Amino acid sequence: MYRDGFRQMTVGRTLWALVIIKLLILFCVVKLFFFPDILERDYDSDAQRAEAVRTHLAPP
Amino acid sequence: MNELLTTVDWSRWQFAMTAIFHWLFVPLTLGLSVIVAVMESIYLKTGDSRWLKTTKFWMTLLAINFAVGVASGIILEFEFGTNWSNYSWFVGDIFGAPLAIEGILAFFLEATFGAVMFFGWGKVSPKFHLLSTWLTAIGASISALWILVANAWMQYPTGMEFDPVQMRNVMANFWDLFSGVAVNKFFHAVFSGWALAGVFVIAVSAVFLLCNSNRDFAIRSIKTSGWIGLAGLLLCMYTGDGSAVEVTRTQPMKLAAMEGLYQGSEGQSIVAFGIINPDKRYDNDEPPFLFEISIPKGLSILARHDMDAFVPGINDIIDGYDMVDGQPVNTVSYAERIVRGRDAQKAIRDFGQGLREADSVQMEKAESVLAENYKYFGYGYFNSPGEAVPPVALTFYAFHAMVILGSYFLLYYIVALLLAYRAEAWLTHSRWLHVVAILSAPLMWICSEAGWIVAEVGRQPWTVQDLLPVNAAISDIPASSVMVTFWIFAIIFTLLLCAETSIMINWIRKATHTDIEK
Repeated sequence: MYRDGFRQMTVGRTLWALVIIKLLILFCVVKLFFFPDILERDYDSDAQRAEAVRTHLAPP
Repeated sequence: MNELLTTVDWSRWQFAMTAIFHWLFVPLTLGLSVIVAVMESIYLKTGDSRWLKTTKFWMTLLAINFAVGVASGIILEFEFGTNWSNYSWFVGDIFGAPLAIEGILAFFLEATFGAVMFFGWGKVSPKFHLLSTWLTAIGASISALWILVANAWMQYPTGMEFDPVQMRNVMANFWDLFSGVAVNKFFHAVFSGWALAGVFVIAVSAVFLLCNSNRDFAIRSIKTSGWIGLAGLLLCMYTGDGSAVEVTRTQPMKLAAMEGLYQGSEGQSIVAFGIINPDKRYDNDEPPFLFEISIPKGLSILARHDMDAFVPGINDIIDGYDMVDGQPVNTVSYAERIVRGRDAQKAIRDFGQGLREADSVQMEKAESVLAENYKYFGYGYFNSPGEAVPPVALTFYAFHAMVILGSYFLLYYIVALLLAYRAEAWLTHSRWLHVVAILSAPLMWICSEAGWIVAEVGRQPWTVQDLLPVNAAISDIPASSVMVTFWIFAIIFTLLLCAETSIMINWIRKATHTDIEK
């Protein structure tokens, strides 16, 4: 059904091209290069992350 | 500090832009999927092939909207982790659970049954196809449910406990997430999608009538979408009324901003139309409006379903003055909340110190102070009560734009249905009516987006009501990096919007030159 559906698409071909290009840009460029998870990137353990958030939310 | 403020500003703009862009597609998917499902149900019941053709035409427009809009909401989740990392950590469990369920449900329901709906014509039995169409529509609404539950929790945090070891809120009772705020928000948003999609279908049908093309198809579409849209709009008004009562109870400051109300009273009037005085602040004596037309007792009825009820204004709320049934409520002034918020923050510092030094007595003492004051934790970030007042003008104008446009569309639906049933010839040949119907479509999107502006601007400065203001929720990242991604998104969104509009217009233009029902 999926194979036939793809073959018989008219406007769908353009849409799939659009979806694939969009997802590639979002996940392979935007997410990868511009949107790191800051706490995951900067700290090794949950305890360190909790301490970092504590320092941010209740600064000395 | 300037750098931090700029990061906050850019992050806010980026989030607002992404959410507004995402919401261009979502309500149309929510509503059009229901309209298509109803059309297909009629086809299956009557066996009339004209309904099949009608269903397929609107299903193609649904596919275009779905394809362009899909995954645009994912960007919001990227932003949580990067721009709003403190927020993400702080709310982790509570916010993550509904979003995870949404991801799983959206993926399985929409990918499985959406594929059958779009590709399954002639490949599966008509009944199973119809079931798939309905499940796709229901799946879209269920997806929205989890997003809206998460959003409602930010507006009215409930069902959680704060764990000072993990520095995050942990879920205490999952079912508390389905508060009155969440239930009203969900139905209000979903039914607004029906109303929006109805206007969209009528506008596109008007294009056919304007081009003297596929007249029967257009009239049939107007009748079907007119009823669904009208039902959606009426239910939207009903749930909007429920939302107003919930906002009064849980976010009185937002209600006061929606109405530009600084000093409340019993039997409070509602401003039907007004021009906000830009010089008015909570701490000066300027009049709140340059011009206003009010309806006596209207706000008391809207907010508390009692024409003589007291409705607090911004200054009353700051002073800790509100009355329900003659009893004082919300009596803690903002000045006191700031003090108690700072006590809560100090308790967190003390707890952290105790944790590092393994001093269980200090931790226990700090935890007790925190439990007593956690309710006002977020107020500790403010230097004055004025910082807890949302942008009044934007909230007021967005609310009134939504209400005025909503009323216009009630008239729009009534006229469209009356003409479709009673004056079909007039509806077919009055070109100015077609033009009005077409030009009204963008207004429906403005109405829908205005609703979200009320919900989100009206709750500022909070990301999580009373607990976490935006300034504290933000990551420690350079403003320039947020600025770069802001412009990247602005370009991507503009291109996607142009692509959707152009694909839709081409498809509709092509259809006006063919006989859809053949």
